[in-house]
Amino acid sequence: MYDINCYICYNFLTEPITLFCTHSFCKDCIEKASKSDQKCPECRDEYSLPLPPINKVLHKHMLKLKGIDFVDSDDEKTPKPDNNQNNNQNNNNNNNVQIPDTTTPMVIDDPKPEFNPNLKYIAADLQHLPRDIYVNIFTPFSIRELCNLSLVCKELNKAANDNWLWKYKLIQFSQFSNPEKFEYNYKKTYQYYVQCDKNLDKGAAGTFKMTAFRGHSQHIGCLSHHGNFMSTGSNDHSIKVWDMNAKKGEALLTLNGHGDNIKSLIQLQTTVTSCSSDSTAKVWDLENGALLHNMEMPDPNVHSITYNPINSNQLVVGSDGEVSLWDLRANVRLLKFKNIQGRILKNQFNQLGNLMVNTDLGLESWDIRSPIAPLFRASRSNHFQSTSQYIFSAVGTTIQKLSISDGKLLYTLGVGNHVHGIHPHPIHPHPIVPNTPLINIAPTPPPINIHLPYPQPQPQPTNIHLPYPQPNIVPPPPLIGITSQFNFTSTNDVTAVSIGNNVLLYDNKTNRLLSTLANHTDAVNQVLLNDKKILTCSADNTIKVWNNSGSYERLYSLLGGSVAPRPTDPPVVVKGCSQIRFDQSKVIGVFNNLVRVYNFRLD
Amino acid sequence: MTTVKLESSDEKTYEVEKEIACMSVTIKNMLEDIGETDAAIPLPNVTSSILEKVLEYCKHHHEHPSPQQDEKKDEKRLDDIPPYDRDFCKVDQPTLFELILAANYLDIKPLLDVTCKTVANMIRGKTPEEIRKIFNIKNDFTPEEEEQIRKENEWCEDKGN
Repeated sequence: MYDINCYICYNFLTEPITLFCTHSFCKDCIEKASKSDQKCPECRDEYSLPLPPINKVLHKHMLKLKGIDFVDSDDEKTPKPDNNQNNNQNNNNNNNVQIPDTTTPMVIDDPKPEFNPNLKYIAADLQHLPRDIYVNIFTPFSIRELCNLSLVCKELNKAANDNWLWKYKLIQFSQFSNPEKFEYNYKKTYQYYVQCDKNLDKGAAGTFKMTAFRGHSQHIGCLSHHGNFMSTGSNDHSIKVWDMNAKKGEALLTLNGHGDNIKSLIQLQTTVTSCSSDSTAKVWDLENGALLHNMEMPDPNVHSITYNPINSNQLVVGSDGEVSLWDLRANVRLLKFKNIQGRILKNQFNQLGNLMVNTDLGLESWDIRSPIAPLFRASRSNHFQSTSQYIFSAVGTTIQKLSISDGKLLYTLGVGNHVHGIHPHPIHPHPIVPNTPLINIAPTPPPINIHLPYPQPQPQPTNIHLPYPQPNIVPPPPLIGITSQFNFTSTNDVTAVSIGNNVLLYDNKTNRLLSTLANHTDAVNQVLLNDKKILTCSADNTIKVWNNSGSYERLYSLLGGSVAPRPTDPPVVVKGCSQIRFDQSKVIGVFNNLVRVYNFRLD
Repeated sequence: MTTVKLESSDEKTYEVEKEIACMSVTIKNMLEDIGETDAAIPLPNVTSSILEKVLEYCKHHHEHPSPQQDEKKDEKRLDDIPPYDRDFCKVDQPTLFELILAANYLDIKPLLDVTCKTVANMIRGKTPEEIRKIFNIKNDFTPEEEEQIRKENEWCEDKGN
């Protein structure tokens, strides 16, 4: 690559001369300089006179940069019959350069190339744009449109295969990426992942490989992954970091230091952040497992951590009694949110960057820049989730859809008939917060006595059949987020609610039941969905993958190995597969004290 | 009100308010580097007619600052061009592409975005043949080459993206 500025005059190079040390200068400049001494003005390397001739390649390059094309006298190749001639002429309304009718060779040493009659203006057209502009134009295009563009002409084919463009596309497509294997050819990488995606659609034997990651001695409570690595936090008080592509499921790192169960983990590119019931939150280095930051909460039972999406050095830590904002670099508590009412259950940022705090009295949304009063306060939530437009909140036996900006109740999804095992908390009168919109409170569902066994199935809507599990005498878990009987995931379009063994799909626009996914033989522990697939994991030790486009049929089941407990296994906290994660190439399932990774990217 | 002088490639000089000129990051950096000056800043890549258009755009947006765009908003959207900008981009193709080049050289991101979006909209949803027609491009592939590319790109055809 050439430097396009002359080191002597700092202008764009005019008639550049390149010395043997590879540094280039304007002809005039270096001639002047050579009169005093014969050392390169840039690197002081000596050169001898006479000066080398003008660097034609660079000269041509410079003229092009200046918007001028010329006909090279040495270029014996046929002058390109220009199909852009029309454009050229349109374009030539205001400059002094004449359009040549005949192409006569140009004298390269002409002192004023700008006015040479043999020059013609390069037309600005779709075929001659700099690379970064192509990237700018093409990034909104779909893959199919890009492939379409390839067929237009050679120039566009080159542009549509641009590596940067595909890198951008790949990042949008897959958070796991391993471009090294394709020598950083991002289009190939992308193509390969599309293949993986198809494998994930089929789930056929031979299209994936399962690896079990063993090492924790107790139940794994939390899981976080980034790139090809994942970290797990367990009730054995340790955190382990794993390479998911490893052939053998051995931990890369074991992070010891917490004195109690790990409650929550956030794995980022270089760090993993954990919080534990020992009332500390810690940040660890992923490279060597060093403890980078240690924050001690005055309040016991820390359970939620979340990074400020605007400032990655700020961590919001939630414990039962308080939510506070920490600065990691200074290791100090910046502020404590006052006026949060009730016992704090969970906090996380929503898609607008506001902090959602769920307490046993209500779901609050805070702007962390003004920690005096919440933006709005809605009914208390058993479990909530925000999408780019809405907040979905499980309130009693309903799912409420709230506007993400002001908390206005948009509708209440009545899954009441189907939901059991929820302990609706008596809803307290909502204090009116000044300057915040009033919230419509959904009708309070009648409290269900949690000590009673589940009621027998009630008359169901005609189109679905819901075999309820017989009452199993597991006491309902304490009032934290997800209960094993009721959890849901929403996108802007679809909400999937798990109830007992089944998952109900609701259309978020019409509020209608789309389908019932009934195939698990035990309670569904978690349901995840994206625009293509729905994944469910269940106490029956399986992960099932369903189609989320039109038909909602079951694609396949991933078996979690033997159900029979080993003598060495720790006590079961959540039966079967307790948590799942997935993306284009992997499904990750947590089974008590081990993690199984189903890798659909076969090498 | 301070002004700066800008000189186009065909040696026409324009005097503009400094604030307007500084919507171009390139000019802003230049001014920071050289400090106060009466000399005209040469813009060897921009012709006078294009520079006039660019200045018109900068002036309009200086006087009518658009509401702060939400950074997090999906950048992929192509249909959110404000009315003024849409009309501004209703020019012949060579001018449009020259505007892109000028916006790129002068580093005026909003102008670059809006012109690129305009081009993207012209391409979107068209067959290769239609694209060639619109942009006056000659098909320089041999049938074999075309077949080859079709084959290479087969993988993305049967997918919903």
